Amino acid sequence: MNDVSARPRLQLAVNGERHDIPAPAEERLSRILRDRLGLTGTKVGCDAGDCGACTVLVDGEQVCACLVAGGQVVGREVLTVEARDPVLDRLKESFLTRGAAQCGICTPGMLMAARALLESTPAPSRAQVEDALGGVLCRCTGYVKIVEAVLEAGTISEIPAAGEAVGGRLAKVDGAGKVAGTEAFGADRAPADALWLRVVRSPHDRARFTVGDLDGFLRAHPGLERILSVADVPGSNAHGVYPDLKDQQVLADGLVRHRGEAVLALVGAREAVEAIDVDRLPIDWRPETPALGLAAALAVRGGPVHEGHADNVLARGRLVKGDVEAGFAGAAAIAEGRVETAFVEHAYIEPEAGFAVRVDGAVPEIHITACTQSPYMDRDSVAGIMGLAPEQVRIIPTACGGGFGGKLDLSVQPLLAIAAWLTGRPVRCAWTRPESMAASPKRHPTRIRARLGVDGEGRMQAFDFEGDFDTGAYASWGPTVTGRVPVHATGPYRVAHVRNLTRGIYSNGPPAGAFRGFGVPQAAIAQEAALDAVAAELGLDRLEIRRRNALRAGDETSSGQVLSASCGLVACLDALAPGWQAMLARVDAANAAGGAIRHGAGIGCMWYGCGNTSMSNPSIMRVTLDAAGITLHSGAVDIGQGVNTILTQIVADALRLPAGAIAMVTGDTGLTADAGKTSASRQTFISGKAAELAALDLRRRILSQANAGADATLRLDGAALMVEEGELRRALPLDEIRLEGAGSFDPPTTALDADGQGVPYATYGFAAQIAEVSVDRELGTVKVHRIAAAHDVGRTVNPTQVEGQIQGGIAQGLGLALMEEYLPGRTENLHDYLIPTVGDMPEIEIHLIEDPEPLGPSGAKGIGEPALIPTAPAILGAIAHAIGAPITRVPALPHRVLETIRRAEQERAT
Amino acid sequence: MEYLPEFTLHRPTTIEDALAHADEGGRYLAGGTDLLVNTRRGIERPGAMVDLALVGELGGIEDTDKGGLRLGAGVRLEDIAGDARLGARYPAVAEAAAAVAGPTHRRAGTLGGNLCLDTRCLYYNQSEWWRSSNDFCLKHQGTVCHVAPKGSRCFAAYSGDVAPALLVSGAEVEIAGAEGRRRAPLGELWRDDGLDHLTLASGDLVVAVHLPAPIADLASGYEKARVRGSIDFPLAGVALSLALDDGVIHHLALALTGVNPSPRLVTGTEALIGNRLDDEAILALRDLARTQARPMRTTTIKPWYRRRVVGALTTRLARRLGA
Ligand SMILES: Cc1cc2nc3c(=O)[nH]c(=O)nc-3n(C[C@H](O)[C@H](O)[C@H](O)COP(=O)(O)OP(=O)(O)OC[C@H]3O[C@@H](n4cnc5c(N)ncnc54)[C@H](O)[C@@H]3O)c2cc1C
Ligand code: SF4
Ligand code: FES
Ligand code: FES
Repeated sequence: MNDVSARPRLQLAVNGERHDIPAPAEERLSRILRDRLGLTGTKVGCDAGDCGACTVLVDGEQVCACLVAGGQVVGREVLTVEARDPVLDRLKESFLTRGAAQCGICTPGMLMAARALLESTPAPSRAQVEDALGGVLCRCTGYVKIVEAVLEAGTISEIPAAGEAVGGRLAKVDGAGKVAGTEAFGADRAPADALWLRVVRSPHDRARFTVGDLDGFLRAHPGLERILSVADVPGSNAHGVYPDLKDQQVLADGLVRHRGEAVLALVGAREAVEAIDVDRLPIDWRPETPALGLAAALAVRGGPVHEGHADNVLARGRLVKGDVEAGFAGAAAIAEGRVETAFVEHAYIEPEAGFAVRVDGAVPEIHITACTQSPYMDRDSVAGIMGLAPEQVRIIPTACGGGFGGKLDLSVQPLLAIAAWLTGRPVRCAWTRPESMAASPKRHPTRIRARLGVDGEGRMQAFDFEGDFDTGAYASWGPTVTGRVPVHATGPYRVAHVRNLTRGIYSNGPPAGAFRGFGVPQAAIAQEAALDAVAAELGLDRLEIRRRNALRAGDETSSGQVLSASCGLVACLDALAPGWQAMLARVDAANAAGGAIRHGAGIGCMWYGCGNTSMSNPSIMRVTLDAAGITLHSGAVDIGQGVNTILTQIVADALRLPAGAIAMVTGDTGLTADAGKTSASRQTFISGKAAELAALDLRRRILSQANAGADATLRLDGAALMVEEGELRRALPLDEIRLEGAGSFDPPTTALDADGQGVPYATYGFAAQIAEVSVDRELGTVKVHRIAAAHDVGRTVNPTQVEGQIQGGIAQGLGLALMEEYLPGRTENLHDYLIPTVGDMPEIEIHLIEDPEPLGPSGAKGIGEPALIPTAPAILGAIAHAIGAPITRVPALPHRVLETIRRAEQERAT
Repeated sequence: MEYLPEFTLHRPTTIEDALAHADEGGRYLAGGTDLLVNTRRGIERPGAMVDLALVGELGGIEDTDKGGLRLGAGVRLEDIAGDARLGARYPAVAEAAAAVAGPTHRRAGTLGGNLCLDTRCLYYNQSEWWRSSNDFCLKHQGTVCHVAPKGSRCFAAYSGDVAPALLVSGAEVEIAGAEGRRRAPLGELWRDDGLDHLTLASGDLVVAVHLPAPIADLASGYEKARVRGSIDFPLAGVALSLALDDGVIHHLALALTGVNPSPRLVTGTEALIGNRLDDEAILALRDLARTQARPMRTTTIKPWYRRRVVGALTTRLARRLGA
């Protein structure tokens, strides 16, 4: 009999090495690899078999390491991403050069799944690749580049020779660590003696509570060092993202407003903390009637969620131009678009994690290492919570395994800081997946009505929009959403008479905050549906009506801003037009055959202001030349979108040096200047410009130091920077020189008046996408076959990255349209909350339009959010085309599609 | 509870030793893709687990002398999906195995584990914190069923993909237990109770599934409804086997999964034998399927949808196999 239980240790073979590990046989392989062997390349996204981030190979075959007990692999060969292996090396190289890793958190799992496939099938088909990767989720890439990287592993990718960096497919400058599995994410590193922190959360949507004898509980649980309650918060317990609106609690003070709100925090030895049954904690709950959903919140069910907001209305947004009633009176056709949407979860594959250390010097400091999108905001918020000066707080961002807006708000930082401050010990924490889903902000659920009047030629005359946004229990970024939506609600079109009204409503749902697009994706669904409806009424082609109304340079927007340049929507539509005609023809031909499967085509357009709405949002960059060579100091956080690479390319071109000459220091608030948060598609445009200015400044200083003219060439030659111009040859020895170039950029905007008139953004991205779908009329399921996307990005700094953003945005837009619905208390895991898998992705064709933005670096503007906005309108339009009726409740889950079909049939019958 | 509680892990190499460990209270652990998830969620708390991976007799897909096949309970779903003999003789079984979860799960997951898979419910397959905050439920630690609060039954759905395909293929199950070996029609492995859906006595081990030689002209297939292209459990699954003689039905078997607490071999299909497989017969078959499916609010997708889709999948399969 082979009885492992008799042995206290485990003998494992990992990456060709034998290990004798003091672990019990039941410890899961993921934990053994990460915590016992330090092989943190194997990631944990769900700990439940749902995400595949932990995929490793056992005897050459892929398994989820979180589903295998260590004892089960005794005597078998385990291979992880850290292995030296020729097939794996080829894959890593291919992933790196083809942009298959964005944030990189899914990359090790993807690599291992691909390695298993290539071992048995060296030249796989696309279908085989998709099948092999079917168990690993990626939230960033839309899978396209991952599949390509596997298919083409071993062939050399075509990287344009070094020359001009901007416009080239420079591989991710920080990509090597991502594919090697050495990149440290929030949960990957912490001091060995760190205590563990676990948050105790409200199981109720709304409740009052009192806490009993914590000291007694503490004494009864050896290993538990401390239980934090609201009384332990040293500074202000209230926090929030706006200076004047701090409504959120670090730890609840006798009242919880949403399920998952933090109540206490347990700090101590990991085993002790994890073993605690939180039901035994002395908390006396008195649940109250919650206001869940917009209807209940507007009816103020159970009383106001916050004092001072008797009607639960947090914020209102308003834009009025012309006379909307008069506009409708003169319209030849009027139609309406309506939509209700659900909470949508960011579902980044990396749950929130990090650690904090108290550093006692002359002035004590707290250093927090965690995943984040906004280090400077974190610093200031934590300082307020701790009652410290901002300089006493240092935020060190780890690699961020996906953000999409969800890591703009504080997560693990404040409790870690308090715990480390009070215990004097390092403290670490990693949220579980259900915890991450219950506690992190969401996309706002909405109820939207858009009414549109056009003249006989389909020209938009009047547009009337009302949208309610459920901001959940706390403001988070709610007011940003209600402010941004009115500006964008008409879509990228000229309209004379406009009235756009929004409300942000408090409820007892999870806080809704920032999520790629700040409410604009939801608004675009209703607005584009209205446009489709008037087109149908007038018998106009859906692309043509958009072309007729598209904003062009010289036009005035609904906020009264005259767009002087970089309005590429017409060019986008023209690029798609031939494909659109072909798509319509294909759809008609397919439908002529009859049957249960109906085909449809749809189109969506969008515009999106880059940067914060009518607010100063500067970025400051520094480029230095010293013994370390040339270093860009950037406070802009790369959350996978690739800003590090983009900035490197811009700086390289401004200095006229190869990209390889530029090193980078990023993100740490102790080492870099404030670049603003990574959101609102602002980093390429704003930080890119600041970096360009900083690099130009440095170049000027170098040239003047060398007494050279403006056209001199620079060359790094070992320990010297060579400045050459005709006969002139000057060597600047690096260890003798210290030069710094600085640049800052704040895009010009103006405040909006009471009618929402003004210049809210310095520039806008434009895009159009078309989608081809088939709908199974019997099962209600939708398959998206093709999407063609045309995006005006001003200037493509890096085609690989822009494509990656668009493909990833399309995947999230597809999820929004078809499957993603976060039900508080129901779908707090990755098997009930569905995000697209590789098998759900359509074929994607991308057209990059370059209508340069004079203010942007080399003419570039943002792409992060624009990528996602047109996708859902295009897919939903295609479904409506296929079934003859619009879907008004999103996501279009199969039962909703069947309901819509049935209702349409009934209406036709009567 | 988010960590894995302590348990002892035994790794026997023979069925006798496995039975002995189980007799002492050990739970069988095959691929672990269901059991370990449930254990970590605190739904299961076995003190000991009996890893079946090294038990040789549980492996292998073998031809039997009468033209049938013996599938060891330890055979992995991936190997079932890829087996050419199954693909030729019982395509429904191979199709169903290929439709399970994602590739990692099929590589680890076994036939025995798939058949003995716990029933599933939105209120059950959740973290401990989640369930405790929803007051637990009848199936585990609680007193009411949130799906049917007035009743005293559990309607958690059996959601394995392979069972219905084996049921329409006339499979028998071989079980080893304290009383020795026994063979029974596969359908007898389950009862219609979400709380306790397996008829196995404590310690009983599923050793193998036996498939008879297929009758002439047998066609079979499996269809599954789910939202995404992979990973998801079936919202509803339908297996059908059919043999036609000049358009006339002379064999017909239909089975469902995902819509009842146990996989269900649909009754009443014999009435259609001798009929032509025309629209009327297909409609009758569809109605049989719909009336015998009893989906409850155990998924985020509405029950009416799952019932309707059972009908649609049945119609579709009948058309596909009859063509
Ligand atoms: C994300 C995810 C998605 C999934 N999707 C699907 C899906 O779409 N379709 C589907 O069918 N399944 C799905 N599963 C469930 C599971 O992966 C499969 O059902 C798999 O076949 C279970 O087999 P296993 O060997 O891993 O079982 P284990 O987890 O090892 O065991 C399951 C149960 O069976 C018992 N058992 C195992 N072998 C025997 C035996 N020989 N005799 C007696 N009892 C035994 C165990 O004690 C345990 O109670 C999914 C799982 C996950 C994590
Ligand atoms: S059907 Fe009822 S008793 Fe069974 S698991 Fe679901 S809620 Fe619990
Ligand atoms: S961490 Fe193992 S599957 Fe998600
Ligand atoms: S790159 Fe795949 S999850 Fe971020």
